[in-house]
Amino acid sequence: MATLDFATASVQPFQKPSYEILVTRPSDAPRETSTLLDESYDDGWKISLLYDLIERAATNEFFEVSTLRSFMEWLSVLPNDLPRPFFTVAEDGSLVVEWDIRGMHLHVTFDQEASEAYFLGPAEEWEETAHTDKMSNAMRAILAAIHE
Amino acid sequence: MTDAANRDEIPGSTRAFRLVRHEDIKPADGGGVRPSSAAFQNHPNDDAMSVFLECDIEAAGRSPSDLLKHEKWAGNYRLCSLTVDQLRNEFKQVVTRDPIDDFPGHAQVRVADGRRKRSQGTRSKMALSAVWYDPDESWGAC
Repeated sequence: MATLDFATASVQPFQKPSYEILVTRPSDAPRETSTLLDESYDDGWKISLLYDLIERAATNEFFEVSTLRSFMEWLSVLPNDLPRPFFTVAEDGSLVVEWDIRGMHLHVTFDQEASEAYFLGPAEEWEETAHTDKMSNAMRAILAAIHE
Repeated sequence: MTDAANRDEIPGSTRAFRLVRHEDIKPADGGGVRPSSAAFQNHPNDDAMSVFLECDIEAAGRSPSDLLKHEKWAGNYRLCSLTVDQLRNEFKQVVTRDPIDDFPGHAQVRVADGRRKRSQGTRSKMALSAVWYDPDESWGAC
C-alpha cells in the first residue's frame, strides 16, 4: 500500500465557491484530486473540518484517498446551517462524524468500503448507510432541535 | 483456547478496559466528555479491538492506572470500560485472552457472528454505555 505524503496537501479555493483538495503521493505516483462542487458552499465549519481531516489523516497509515473522496461528496451536500459535528480519523483510517445534541445521536463513519450511519433519538433508532432519506430526516430533527 | 473455555474462564463481571486516544474523546450531550464511536473500531491488522481485563491486571499485582503510566500510552489516552457481560450479551462480542509483553490482561474483542467489523450501531452504543475509569476509585477482586 502506498504511503500518502500530505506534505503538500492543501485545501485551495478556486473559482469560489468550489474547493479542491490535492493529495500528493510520494515518488512519481499519480496525483489524487478530489473536488467539492456545491453552489451553496461557504467558509464555515466544513472547511475547518477539512483542514482538521488533512492534519489527522497525514499521520494515519491506514487512511485511503478513496475514503476522502466519498466523504467529501457527502459533506458537500450537507445543509450549511447544521452545527459543526465532532470529527475524528479513527485508528483504522475511517472518517467519523458525530452529532450529539439534545438527546439525539447521529453518528456516521466512512471507510474505503462503505458508509454507515446510526441514529438514536427520543422516539426512533436506526442504522443505515449515510445516503438515505432517514439521514435527511435526522438532520432536519437536529436542525429543529437547535432552533427550538 | 475454545470460545466455550474462554467464556468459562473470564468472569462476566470483569471490566474490560479500553484505551481511548484523546482525539477520540468528544464533548458529551449534557456536559462532560464521552468516547467517540471511533474508539470502538477493530484494528485493521487483526480485525479485533484490544482491551485489558481487570481480573488479569489484578492477578498480576497491577492496577488499571498503571496502563496510563506505561511509556507506550502515557499522556495520550484515557481509560473507559464495559463489562465482559455487556460485551458478550448486549453487544454480541467474543472476548479472548491475548497476552502481550507490554502489560498484563490483554484480550481481543471480536464480533461474535464472524464479521470483520462491528456495525456503526454497535460502536455507537458501546460509546454511549462505556464508563470512564477513575484512577482514585477503590476496586475489588473479580
